[in-house]
Amino acid sequence: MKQSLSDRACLVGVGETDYVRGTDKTLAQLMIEAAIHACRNAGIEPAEIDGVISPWLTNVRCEDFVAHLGIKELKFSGRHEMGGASSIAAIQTAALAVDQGIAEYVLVATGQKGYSGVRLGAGDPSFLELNNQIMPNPDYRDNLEYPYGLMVPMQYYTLHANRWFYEYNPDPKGMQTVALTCRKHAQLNNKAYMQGRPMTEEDYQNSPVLVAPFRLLDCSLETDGAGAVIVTSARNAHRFKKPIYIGGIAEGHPQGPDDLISRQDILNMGITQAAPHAFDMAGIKHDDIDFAEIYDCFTFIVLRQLEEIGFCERGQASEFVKDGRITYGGALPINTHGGLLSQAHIVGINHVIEAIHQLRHEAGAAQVQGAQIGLVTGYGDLGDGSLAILHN
Amino acid sequence: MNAVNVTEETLFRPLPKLDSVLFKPFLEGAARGELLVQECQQTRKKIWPPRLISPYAPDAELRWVPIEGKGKVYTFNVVHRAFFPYYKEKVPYAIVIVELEDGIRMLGNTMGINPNSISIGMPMEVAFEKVDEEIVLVHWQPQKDD
Repeated sequence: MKQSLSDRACLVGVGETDYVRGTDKTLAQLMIEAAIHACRNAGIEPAEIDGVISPWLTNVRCEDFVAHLGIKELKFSGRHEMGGASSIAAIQTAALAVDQGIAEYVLVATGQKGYSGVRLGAGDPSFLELNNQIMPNPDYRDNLEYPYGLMVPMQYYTLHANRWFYEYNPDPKGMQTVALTCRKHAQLNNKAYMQGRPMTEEDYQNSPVLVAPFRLLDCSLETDGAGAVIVTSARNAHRFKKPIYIGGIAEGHPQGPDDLISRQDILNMGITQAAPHAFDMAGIKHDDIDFAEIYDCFTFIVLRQLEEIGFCERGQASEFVKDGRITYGGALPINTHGGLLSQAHIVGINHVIEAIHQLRHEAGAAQVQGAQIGLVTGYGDLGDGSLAILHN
Repeated sequence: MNAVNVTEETLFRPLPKLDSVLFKPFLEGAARGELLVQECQQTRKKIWPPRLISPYAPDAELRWVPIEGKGKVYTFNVVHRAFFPYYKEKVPYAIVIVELEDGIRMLGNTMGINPNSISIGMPMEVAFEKVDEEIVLVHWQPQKDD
């Protein structure tokens, strides 16, 4: 029988900073703050951390945690280069490390100063330098894309979107439904930047088209903040009150991960490949999922992920999200914290944190009643994907 | 130097990197009005964008060969927001991906068409924009009737 990572590791601590626009803190301060919160939440001493993954590009390195957390022996460290898919990919790596006994408590911490740091679209050439550090194969960016005014994420996603609309003719209102649903959910989340700032259908329709067919309100937020989770072996689960198990987890990379333009099927994404692996590992069906936190850098990509994960056929996501299916009381509530669209853009670690809150039944007013199994996705770079199936 | 040039110089416009080993032959081809892609000399398969070795046969020689600059729009977008100041006077502009022979796809902006009139499947042909003596960009315009 194939060896499986299913239920071999669990998530035992979560930590978040406030999610704000404007901070004097450095990214390192934010990430260390989130890490300390996560340790306290787990009920372990920061010095007990013996593995750190600082996924995604930040100038904060694993070593920075050693001194600040008082770590005596760092046995394991790592880094992932999958943009917003990195957080879950990092949890997969952490699960492997703790299952093999290489480390006991692996901290996965990330953060972003999306408002106080380099902002997309602010006209600063340093964005392109940053982008070349984040993205695979900067030669392609420099020679094939930037000279033609293709620079920021929504320009890539709209190339994908227009082909999707051409091939399947889906209802464009699906994007609006995702935007309104996330904003509605943010109203119930005290951490959400958009709590107290509701969105109406008119607000959405009146928001400007930035790159057709995306409007301003199809885009995720520019915010500052950090989040952290702690992964430990299932052997340690008995030490914790509410351990959340990793039932299935996988990362995936589209064919041609460094080049969206020439990808044979532009609708093919990393999650297309990763999803069956995670479901196989978890041994569950789509109907078993009680809620899903879907990486939502743009409304459109939520629809596409629902399709590629297999919740519905290609081209059917706009139908799928209709009539309240993706909100409280529906068959599959999504982004119960507001998501990147309405809580904060913290490279998707906030999706993992919200899933843990839900499965611990600590999600307050946003609690999905009786939640037992949750799905979380990550999405990054030019279509890398990751997903985790978590349960209590 | 006249005033217009001074203004243009102050606005950041990214241009291809002539020192790119990978893209040098392509950029030099474009400067001569030729569209070049790599070809694997073992399998005769065309390779685009350029790679360091042939993904089909790692020991094969790679040669740059010309292809016909005609194809159809595979997908596109229309940019209404200028993400850098240089584009303030360019918006709305289109980014098109054109599928050429052998499934090769190339990206560029459009010439000779209103961006809002572009649709997927539209026949396009290459149109070169001479930026200076060395740098020529590859754009796309509607195919002219023969």
